[in-house]
Amino acid sequence: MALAMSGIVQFENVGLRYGTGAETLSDISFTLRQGGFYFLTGPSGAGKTSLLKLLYLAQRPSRGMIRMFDQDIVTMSRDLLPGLRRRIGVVFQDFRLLPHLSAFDNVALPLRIAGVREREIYAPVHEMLNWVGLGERGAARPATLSGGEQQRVAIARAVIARPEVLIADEPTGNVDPDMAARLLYLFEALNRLGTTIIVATHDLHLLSRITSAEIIRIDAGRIPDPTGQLRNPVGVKPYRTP
Amino acid sequence: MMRLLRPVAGERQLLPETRLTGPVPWMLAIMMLMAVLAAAATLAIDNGVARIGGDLERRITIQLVEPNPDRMEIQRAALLGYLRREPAIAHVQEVGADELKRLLAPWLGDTGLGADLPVPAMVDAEIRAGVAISAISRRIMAVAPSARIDNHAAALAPVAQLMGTVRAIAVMVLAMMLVAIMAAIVLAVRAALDTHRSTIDVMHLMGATDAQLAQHFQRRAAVDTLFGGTVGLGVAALLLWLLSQQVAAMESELAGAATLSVADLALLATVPIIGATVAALVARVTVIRTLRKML
Ligand SMILES: Nc1ncnc2c1ncn2[C@@H]1O[C@H](COP(=O)(O)OP(=O)(O)OP(=O)(O)O)[C@@H](O)[C@H]1O
Ligand SMILES: [Mg+2]
Repeated sequence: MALAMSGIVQFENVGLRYGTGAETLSDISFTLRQGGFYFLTGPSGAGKTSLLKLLYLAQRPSRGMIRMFDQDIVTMSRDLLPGLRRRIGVVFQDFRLLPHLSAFDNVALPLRIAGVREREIYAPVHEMLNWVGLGERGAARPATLSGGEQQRVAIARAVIARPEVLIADEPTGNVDPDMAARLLYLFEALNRLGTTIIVATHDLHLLSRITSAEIIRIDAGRIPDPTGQLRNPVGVKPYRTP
Repeated sequence: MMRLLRPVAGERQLLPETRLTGPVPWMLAIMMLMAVLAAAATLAIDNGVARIGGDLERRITIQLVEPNPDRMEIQRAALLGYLRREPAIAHVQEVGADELKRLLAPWLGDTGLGADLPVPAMVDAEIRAGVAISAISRRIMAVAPSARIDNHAAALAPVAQLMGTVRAIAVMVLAMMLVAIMAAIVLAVRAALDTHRSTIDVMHLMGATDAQLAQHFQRRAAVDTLFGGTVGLGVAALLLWLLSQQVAAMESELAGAATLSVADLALLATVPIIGATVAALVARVTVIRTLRKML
């Protein structure tokens, strides 16, 4: 399959500059396989969120080439972006729940945007809220939820529409280890169903839990290993915490 | 129209269900009131002008003032003969002696008109549209030298001119109100877009299209304008009713001519609907033009 061969995401010499400052990302090149599980890690300020923004089409690069779903997304017409974005689920680092909507309506948002009929919305949203342990909090506004609860709503919203690519920016930063394990299990389950997963984190513990995951390290806006030699091959335990 | 107002499935829960901004619907109500009044004035004046133009402007009255009854009779016959032959004359009506007596009675009394007092002959004629009154007048003078021609249009010219000016002002006010309504919608929509900027960003990232987002704002604009329009129309209706009572009390033919028909009132009732439709379109264009600048 051509898509699997070339990867679902391809970056080539991508650079990103905010305004007129120095480049936040430089010479980024990598390929993500369809159905792969990737961790993106690196120190704070390294450019993880910036890289993910390119992936979830919130930002166009200043240079380089990006292909996603076999399409050149750098030069792609703006009108085609909504179609691609509906194939991507995002957990934002700062959650970005809509404050005027209940937890239920926040989770239902991607389905409604995709035009799913109202009567086909209740069951999956309810089930998903149960899964993240918020079955009883569906009516709650985000402001009345704890940080960890908000994060779980954000995760439920990101996965509700069964995206082909799931992008999660520090998705377990605000939850206890048990919940983190449970959420990671959710990601794994989605991954087994074919979703490509990209998780930015500096939680070393998390990295060690998914043995099949590949790790992309970013430092000061560069991936110091453009040849991919240092990246862990599939199936090998990539990283161990001391 | 109704499609604009009905929340579409999936769109209902997307953005906060707030008015565009607090005072905007009331501002729209005031502008709609002005628009309806201006439209009413335009229609009423059109009706008045149509009457003056149609019935009065092309009408002339010819009086024969000739003391000698025999010569008077000759001229009368010549005049009537000419008028009936003349293709430019649409209608000829001799004012009969009885009618004349009735008209003159207030001045001369019941017994004032005897055989000894010469009564002028009087003929009403209606000239076809597009024919110059002066040309007809000359030909009338040729057949009946003692004719005095009374041109209604000349007498009414200053009134017609005034009505024309008032009408032009009313049309201008109507046009300016529509422009002001559109401007108010543009400003309100831009403010709302600013307020909901982060929500719009998130929805874009989830794959919402500009048209989906615009739908919410265009519906809000339509609802708010319809609200303002209905309030404005209600107040305008009240004012127009008061005016019509006063006009009726005046018993003036001229003022009475400038009234509104049922069809006119129905037309005025559509002003809020037209306004709401225009507002929805303006909101849509504003939203889509603003969103196009985002990624
Ligand atoms: N919108 C922006 N405008 C200007 N500079 C930005 C913007 N977003 C990020 N940066 C800068 O880009 C750099 C990388 O930021 P980024 O958020 O990608 O880091 P990160 O790896 O996600 O960090 P963290 O682990 O703390 O989330 C930082 O120096 C940051 O100040
Ligand atoms: Mg970050």
